[in-house]
Amino acid sequence: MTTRSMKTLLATAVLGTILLGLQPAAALTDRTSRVLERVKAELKTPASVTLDSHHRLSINWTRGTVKAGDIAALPGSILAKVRPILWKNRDFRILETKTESSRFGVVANSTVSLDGFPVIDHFMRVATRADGSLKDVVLSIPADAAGFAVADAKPAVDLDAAGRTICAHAAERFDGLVCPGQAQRVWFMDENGVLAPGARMLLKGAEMSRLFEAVVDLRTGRIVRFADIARR
Amino acid sequence: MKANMKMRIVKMLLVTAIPAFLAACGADYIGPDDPGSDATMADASADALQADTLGDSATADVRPVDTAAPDAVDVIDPDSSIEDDTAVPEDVPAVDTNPPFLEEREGWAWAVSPADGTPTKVPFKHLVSREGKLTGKFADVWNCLREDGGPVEQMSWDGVNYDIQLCNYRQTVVPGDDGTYLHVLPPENERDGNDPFAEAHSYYSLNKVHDYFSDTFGYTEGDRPLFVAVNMSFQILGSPGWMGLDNAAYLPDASYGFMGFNMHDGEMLAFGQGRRIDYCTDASVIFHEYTHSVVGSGRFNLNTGDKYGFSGDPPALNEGFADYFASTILDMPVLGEYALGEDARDLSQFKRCPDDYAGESHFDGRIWSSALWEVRALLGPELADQIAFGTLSGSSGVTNFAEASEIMLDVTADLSPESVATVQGVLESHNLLSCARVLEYGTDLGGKGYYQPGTADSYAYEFQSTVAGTFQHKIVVPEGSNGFIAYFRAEDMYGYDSSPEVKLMVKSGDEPIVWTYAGRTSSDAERSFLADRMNSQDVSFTVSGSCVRPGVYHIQMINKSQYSVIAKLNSVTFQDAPEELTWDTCTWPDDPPVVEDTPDVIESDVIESDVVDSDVAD
Repeated sequence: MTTRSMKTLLATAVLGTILLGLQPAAALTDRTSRVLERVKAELKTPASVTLDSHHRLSINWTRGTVKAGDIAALPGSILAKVRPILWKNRDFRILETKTESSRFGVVANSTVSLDGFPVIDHFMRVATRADGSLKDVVLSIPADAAGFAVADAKPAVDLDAAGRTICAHAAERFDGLVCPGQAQRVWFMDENGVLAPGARMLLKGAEMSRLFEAVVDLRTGRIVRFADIARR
Repeated sequence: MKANMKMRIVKMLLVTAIPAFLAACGADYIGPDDPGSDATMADASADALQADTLGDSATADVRPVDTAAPDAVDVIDPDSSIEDDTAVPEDVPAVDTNPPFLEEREGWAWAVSPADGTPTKVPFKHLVSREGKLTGKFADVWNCLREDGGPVEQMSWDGVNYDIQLCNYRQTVVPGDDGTYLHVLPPENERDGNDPFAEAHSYYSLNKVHDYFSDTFGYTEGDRPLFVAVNMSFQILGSPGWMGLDNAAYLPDASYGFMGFNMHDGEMLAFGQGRRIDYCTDASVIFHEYTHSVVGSGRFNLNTGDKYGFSGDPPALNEGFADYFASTILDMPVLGEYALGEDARDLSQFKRCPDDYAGESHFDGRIWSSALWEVRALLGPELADQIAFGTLSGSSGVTNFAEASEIMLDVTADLSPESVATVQGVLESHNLLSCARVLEYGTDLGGKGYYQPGTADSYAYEFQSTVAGTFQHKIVVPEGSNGFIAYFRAEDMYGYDSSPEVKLMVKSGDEPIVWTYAGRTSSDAERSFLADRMNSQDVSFTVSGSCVRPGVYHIQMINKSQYSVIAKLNSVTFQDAPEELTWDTCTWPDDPPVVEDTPDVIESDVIESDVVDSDVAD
């Protein structure tokens, strides 16, 4: 065996080792790449489709390539196109859209629901340029292929119990908070990338005079958020 | 109600409620929310980072949160209040007494604030009220008067219920016989809680800021009559005197307002009649709050995670934009010079990341606003304002410093390609494109303090069982040492928890700990270490044994308690013969000092408490 072939063999072995070591990540990349290609094909427009560090879907169009049309309708129509690709048959829908116009174009910010319940902390944003062409779309809910999942276990606690947990915590920790007692059913993303059933409640401030947003994980009954949503 | 209990309630309101005035439903408010002056923040002393010093007190001479409660009571004893010395205005006529209907009338307003000395004669535009009240196409201004009629809410404290009454909304300004508002003049006493001039000045300023955004950027979302209340105050029923509110706020949903009051069904701007000054009389305060309404509730509204850990960039950007636009409209770099006194924010002061980053939005926002102001100085206000608004328009709820910087470069390339290098230079000098929140131990910066949210108040979905530190620390273990003890401050920000649970992540080598959020939040730190709590304020972490080699380490405190802690690396001592061995299973230099099966450091509840033990067993 020549020195050159020895080097080739060694390089191949090293490369093989590296590839084996990276297999899960590579597989994930393959899956997400395929999803991105399918999204791109479904849009039928010359767009750049990528994921960011949080696996948010980003679609970018070159200036002037695609006319936006009615921007208020765009979030719904784009979501309908990508929904089967990103999440099989899950019933994600646009919950509410607010648009704003400026010399830079129009921006439509949408909240999203799943099975009729709001998905907190997540959004869809569609922007056009001043010339009326589509600029970009950001969809913050990751795709199944990116490791995203929806909790399928039946909630262990109900909204009433979650509300009592929140109010009890408020009384223990923040004396004087006004607790409305009625929680709202929502979805929240846990830190494992699982969309989980939650109960959300806004608590009016009394002498602490903040407005707190509280969220209980309905799978466990545990408080996962109790935050003053005023920016201090 | 017993007198001493009344005073106690007053104290509580002064120390806690008033300072956080109207901070409801995502509301943001002018501050001064900085945790301290620059000098104070340099070492983030205990005083500088007290929980309730986070930005509510309004004045230099009357600071409810920096003042012990008894002193606060001395500052504003409702029994001795002089704030009620203005008679409640008579109700205004129900019909227009000064026809014809005019869309524009003259009146007086401050160009900036009462520091102007004399008001300026200005046009009051966009009026739509048939009676000539200050209701217009873009602002609907009401006076909140110190009279009965306002809503009453019951609050409970120590098991005793109290009835709190909000001031009463009425519009008191109508044209005079000459068809103008020129008869509405500034009050003789800035503590006048009913002065009509507050309405007039606010109406003018709100139209000015509306027209700025509309005319300059074609921004149309402001084309609605935004509800605004001025002179806001409250009283405890049965207790004499009204109490002022030292702050101002934009409330996206005012139905969740101050102390549970439904202040308005929908968004509103609220300006307190403060105990020293009237907040609406400083135009920069009005412009700041109005800009928050432009930013909206869908932008810069969440904290997030980046590769260094917890990131409070988005709210900081929110504040930075609000400060910038307020200042550029007035062509003055100092925001809140009148209203905030010594806590005014000077955008011409150079701020850099991470040097001027502390995990508090108003404080950190100065890095962004000072960069924008520098761009303005270099490129001129017209282009700089367009670049700033284009960047704002292109941002989302979780845009961070680096992403906003990239957006700004794209916007600049569109608007003025020849200016890209200038903008890039500014962003680089403020270190906004790639700010590494890593503090080098032994340097001046290495000892700075910062805020570190907890699992319940992180407001970042990436962190729910553990919150990564806002900062990492770089230390160098010297030759001859095989261990160190890191002494941190880790004190509950609210003072409730005497022993908040924190841990220390450790990674050897020159590269910082890297956090990732692809599916699951995790880091590539090698080990986590339990804290030895020394007292309610301080902890120590012992990292010692044969696995610890001379060289570079990155350490990062993570918060596993529910609520924010005030954090700071106080000191590090290095050991050559440590008594306690916490990382001692390596036969170095041959074996790598990696002892955990997985680099994932977001531990489940099941294993979180026994990491050290299991590692020792290895």
